[in-house]
Amino acid sequence: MEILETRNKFITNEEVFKHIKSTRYEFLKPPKKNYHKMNNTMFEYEILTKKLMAYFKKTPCNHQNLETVKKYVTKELSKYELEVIEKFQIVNLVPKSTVNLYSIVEECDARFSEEQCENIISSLREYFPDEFKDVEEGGEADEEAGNNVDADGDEHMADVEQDPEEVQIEKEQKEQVQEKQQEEQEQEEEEEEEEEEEGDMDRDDELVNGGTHVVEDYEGGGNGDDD
Amino acid sequence: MFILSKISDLVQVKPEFFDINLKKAIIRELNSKYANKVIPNLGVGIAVWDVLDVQDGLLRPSDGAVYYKVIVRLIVFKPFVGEVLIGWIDSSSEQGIKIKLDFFDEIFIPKDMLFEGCYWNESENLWVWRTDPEDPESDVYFDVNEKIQFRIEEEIFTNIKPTGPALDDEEEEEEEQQQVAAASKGDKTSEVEVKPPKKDLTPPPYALIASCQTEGMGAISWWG
Repeated sequence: MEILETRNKFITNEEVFKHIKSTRYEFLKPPKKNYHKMNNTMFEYEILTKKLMAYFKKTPCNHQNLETVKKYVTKELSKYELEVIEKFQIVNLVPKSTVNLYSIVEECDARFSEEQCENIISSLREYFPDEFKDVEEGGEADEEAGNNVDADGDEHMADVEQDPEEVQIEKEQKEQVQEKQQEEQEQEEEEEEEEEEEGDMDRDDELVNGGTHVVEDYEGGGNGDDD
Repeated sequence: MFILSKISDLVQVKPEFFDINLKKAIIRELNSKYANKVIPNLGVGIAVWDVLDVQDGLLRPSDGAVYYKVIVRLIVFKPFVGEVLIGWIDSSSEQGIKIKLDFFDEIFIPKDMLFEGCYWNESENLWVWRTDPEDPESDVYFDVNEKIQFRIEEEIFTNIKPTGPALDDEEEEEEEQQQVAAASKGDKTSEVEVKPPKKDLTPPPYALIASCQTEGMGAISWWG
């Protein structure tokens, strides 16, 4: 392995979120039927992406989408002379007050007037209204209430967004399970007919069980992500 | 927080993946190789972003796999120094506060990088910030699992070498055997020391030092 270019580009959390979300299921399901569990090398990837999703769902990028971010950066932030990394951080963190903005933008008070800062915050409120809901509803003390609102929002989002890919995968998995069950039934019938070869049949059963375990595991992974 | 790094690598595509799309097979192989791994002096590998170039495959004698030299862009977790991140307090100690980010836990705020006026509350086991030095009621708490913002100050890479065959263990076993033998003889003068369980003291390969001492840092509700 050779590193050709350490920092080719910065990317926003939102982009990573969408990229992982759209590609992870492809790598989590077995590449083909009867692919044995022991050959599964995507274990680390599965855990990492699951944790990443959990993190992103708790941060502003959960409510963002690429189009509004692009629109926001080109229309609003281009008015001000901000560094690239400052723009990235504004999008990633969505500062809710000028104090938070000051912490992101270096020497903010010298470079921008208070009015400009207020404008940045109000434009953020306009483009990413979901982020400001917690602040307005919860106030200062109600951390828990804010969290609850967040959790509900997540579930709602998950319900709406999970569907197309996952339903497809679940269908495939169900088909696989059905096939396995058919095989098992056939084998049982054979077993009744040929009681002599018990040892061999036991081994086959194990294999089949192993196969269904794989399927169950993958289902578990998929469902766990929804929570 | 996340960057794209351009890397080149030699990828082995096993025969069982010959019937699926080549790019997908390569991405699959690289994802399993780099996901959640610390790349020295770079950061934590996450996943492949896109494949830029795939050269012709190479075969090796007595090997069914094909080897491709590829150039890809990898998503890497590498916050720059000075970046502000959102995280949650994992645990507190007298030395400082440990932060977790779900997927990355090696972030530490030393006590001298907290706000001025912070003190360690022994009975509650957490750090407290007295925002107004003369008013004891102005305390705010760094509770466990509090969502806070912090600034990255330093990144530390440690080169962890693989441990060789466990020679030390054999010596220890011999010692233990001697001790057991001595004890069985009824030699009460040689006290058998109870060794404390070994702690894993190897430093993490990639750790971040953060600070929490300027305006806007700490819990978001403090600055509402």
